[in-house]
Amino acid sequence: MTEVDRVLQGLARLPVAEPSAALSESLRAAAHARLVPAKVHPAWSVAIAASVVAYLGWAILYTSQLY
Amino acid sequence: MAPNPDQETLALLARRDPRGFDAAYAKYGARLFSFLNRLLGTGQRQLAEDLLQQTFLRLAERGPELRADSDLRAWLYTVARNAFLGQWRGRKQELDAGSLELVVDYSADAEARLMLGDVERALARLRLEDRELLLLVGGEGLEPLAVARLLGVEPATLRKRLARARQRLLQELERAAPRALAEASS
Repeated sequence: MTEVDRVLQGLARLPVAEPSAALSESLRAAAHARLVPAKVHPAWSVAIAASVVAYLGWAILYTSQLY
Repeated sequence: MAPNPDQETLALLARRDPRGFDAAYAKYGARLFSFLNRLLGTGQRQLAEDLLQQTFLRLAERGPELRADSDLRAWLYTVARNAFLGQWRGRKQELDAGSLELVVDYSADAEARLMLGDVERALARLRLEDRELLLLVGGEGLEPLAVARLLGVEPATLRKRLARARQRLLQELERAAPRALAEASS
């Protein structure tokens, strides 16, 4: 083994420093939140569907009154 | 062709499964943190943590788009390096003027102080380009071809730069050796 190889081997043996537990925990929470999109409450879906039906109803009624 | 060691992690990420992120963080988090810490060369742990955070939040955002055959490790080091360069350009003088603190305290073990402590100190004295190259190839064990792609240089250029960087590290180690020996024997 050459002297230069020993240098690279020394680099490979350098110990690993751990990030703080607080950082790891907050990072995991933030990453999970980005990975899993927040679920929309079912009430919002019902509200949107109801508003579409109401608008269509109104549009039909309005159109029928024109003729 | 060898199977992708991160195939399962990438598949989980593609399904936006948080376990994919956890697996990637468990496998590469500490290594990337050490890499960033040593790249900064100034013992700026807080800044290294900020860069680590940027890197892994990027993984959470872009991970689901990575292909199944992607080299996750090389991708993470590329993102970490870009995050580092963004900081370094803005704070070059501040970072260059920092003290040469060690990433790990070797004071309890004389032999480790002589061996690994010296390597850390010598590494911290090198130019950023040399330090980065040695850390990626020697410290992190990335394939030279992957490092060439990461740094955007030809493989032949990388080999030459690596040889020069090794030489400079060796010179730094030789220069530091008598002092370290004196410290260890005192």
